[in-house]
Amino acid sequence: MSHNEPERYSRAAKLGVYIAVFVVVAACAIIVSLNFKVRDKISAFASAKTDSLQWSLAQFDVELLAFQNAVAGALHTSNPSLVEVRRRYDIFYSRVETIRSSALYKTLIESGSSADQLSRVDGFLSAATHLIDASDQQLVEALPDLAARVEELRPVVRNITLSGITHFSGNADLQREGVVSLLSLVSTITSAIIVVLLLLLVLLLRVNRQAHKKTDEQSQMRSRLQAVVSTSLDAVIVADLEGRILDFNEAAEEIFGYPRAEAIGALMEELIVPEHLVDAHRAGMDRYRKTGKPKVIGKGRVQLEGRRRSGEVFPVELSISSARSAEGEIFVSFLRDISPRVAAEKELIKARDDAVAGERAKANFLAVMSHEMRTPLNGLLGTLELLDMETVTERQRNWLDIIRSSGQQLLIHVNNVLDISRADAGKIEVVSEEFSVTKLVSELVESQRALAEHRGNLISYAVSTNGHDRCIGDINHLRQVLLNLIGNAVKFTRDGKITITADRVEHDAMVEFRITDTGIGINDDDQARIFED
Amino acid sequence: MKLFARCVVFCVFAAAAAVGTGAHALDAPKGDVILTVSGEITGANASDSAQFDLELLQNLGSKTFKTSTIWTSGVQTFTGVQLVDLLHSMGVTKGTMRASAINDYSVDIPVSDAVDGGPIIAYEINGSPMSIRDKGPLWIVYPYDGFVEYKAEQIYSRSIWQLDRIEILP
Repeated sequence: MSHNEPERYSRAAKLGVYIAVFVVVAACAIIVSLNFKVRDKISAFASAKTDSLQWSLAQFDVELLAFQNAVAGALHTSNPSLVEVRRRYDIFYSRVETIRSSALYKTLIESGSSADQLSRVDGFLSAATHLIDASDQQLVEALPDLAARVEELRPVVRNITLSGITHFSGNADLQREGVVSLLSLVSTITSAIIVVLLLLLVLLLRVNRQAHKKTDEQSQMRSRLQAVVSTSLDAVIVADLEGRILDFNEAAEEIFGYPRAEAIGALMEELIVPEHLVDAHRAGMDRYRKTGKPKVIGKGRVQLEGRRRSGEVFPVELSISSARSAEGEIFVSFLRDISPRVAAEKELIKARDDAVAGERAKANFLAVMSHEMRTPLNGLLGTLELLDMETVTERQRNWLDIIRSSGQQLLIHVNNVLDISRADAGKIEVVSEEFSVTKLVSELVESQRALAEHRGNLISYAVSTNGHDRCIGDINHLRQVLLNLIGNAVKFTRDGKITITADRVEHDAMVEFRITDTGIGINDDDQARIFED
Repeated sequence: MKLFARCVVFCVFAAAAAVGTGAHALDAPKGDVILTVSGEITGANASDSAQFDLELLQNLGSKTFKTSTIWTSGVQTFTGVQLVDLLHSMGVTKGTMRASAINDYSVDIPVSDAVDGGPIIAYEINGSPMSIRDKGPLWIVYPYDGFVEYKAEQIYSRSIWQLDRIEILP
């Protein structure tokens, strides 16, 4: 997972949370204000502000009629009882007073429609009261006047009643609508909040799932890492700034010999640092703690020494790096026990030194031998030549021949041995000079003819070089080799044929020499050994 | 001596009992009858109904409280006899009062409404009696300001003014 992904994800999630929180807070503010409005409405409804206005208005009409009846009744009687008239008037009067003190009255006055009519009612009352409160005699006389006034007033009262009822019902409807709209607003806001909460829940579940996935991934990674560390063939040791061991894998247990339980929590210098290095270790840790400058940390492979539980000090190759953890800086090191490698190196060095010494000894030997061995031999042979062959007896001459040939033979052998040694030591110098193939071969054959014929052999040669007789090569060494071969052929053939051929190989700059004989030959096993090179 | 003492004791007890229950026969009214109570009552003073003038009502006890009403402006002082006291004197403990007014307005008031500290039959407002024009002479007034449950339409409809009759129904 890249570094950016967790950042991006948490930014988006944070933004989502901010938005949701803002919406919820705004909705809560609206709810609170609505709450106050509802509370006001509730308290408004808690107590009735008016009694039945409709009743009052209807009674307004009825009581005027009752008064009218009372007046009509009194008119048509000879000796009328004015009690009923006065009573009905008082009742009507108190009804008007009741209406005047009600809230409806104020609204009616304000609306302006009934203001004119109400003032007419007032006018009636002021005139009628005067008459009602007069003496009985005066009242009886005023009865027709009263009746007329009442008749005039009736339609006025009716109008007031009707407009009042209309206004009242309108008001009631408005109130109803107000409550309905308030309640529906509250319900909408509440639903909205519930929706937002559900969305938040969904978001929360998603975040939860992401967190779970991350935890799973992390634990998988951790277990993978754990597997890597535990199966590593190298020791993996984790330590803190104090040098205290925090982790110690299986390979470390095996290499150092400490069980994990013993190693964890112990100081490195107590367990795995050899005594003679403890001071340097401490100094290095101190320096790093103070200056933060690494000398070994993060600097690749370093070779040091470690100490096993048994006390054995052994060479280690290690690599350290530092990392950040929750508890601070930690050091992770991979260590390898390189004692077998170091031992192998030592052996190799020793072998090489031995070989070099051996070579030197051999060269010395050669130098010595080539001088020391040949000197007496040459002395022997040279002195032999000094002997006068004339003054010796036949018998002595034979002995001298044997001595001479033995000496020569020995010289040849010594020379051969020295040549081989020199050749093995790579001390043979190969020169390049021009020579004639035919001349070489013919010289060699002639030099051996006597010996060959002495043994009953026929020796011959054939050279075919296609006109390219001249060659470049080391003529001396070549002669030596050919001489050896021809000599062998002669030695091991009796009454046979020995042929020496030299051919220039087709398409090549090489010349092939062949020595063929009809002698006893070489065993197959020995052939393999001889021609092994 | 013993007999005399026993008689005295008996009389004292009887008087006490009589006073205690208060269920004694009403005196006849001397002034204008302003309230007639009929129905299932005890202590009638006219055929099977009890007639009260102002004095008889005042004898039953008086209670004064201040309250504002929806028919008046500002706080008014009402003085009257508690409904519960009136009913008690009639031996009424349960049922319904059918209260009627001079203009034949009528309303049923459950006897349970008549509690101590509850509605009164007011005969004085701010220390003066009420004329018919002032919604008098009798007005059942509840102490609206004291209890919010009295500020209800039903209670307003029971606040009958120009009261002149009460019939006690079972």
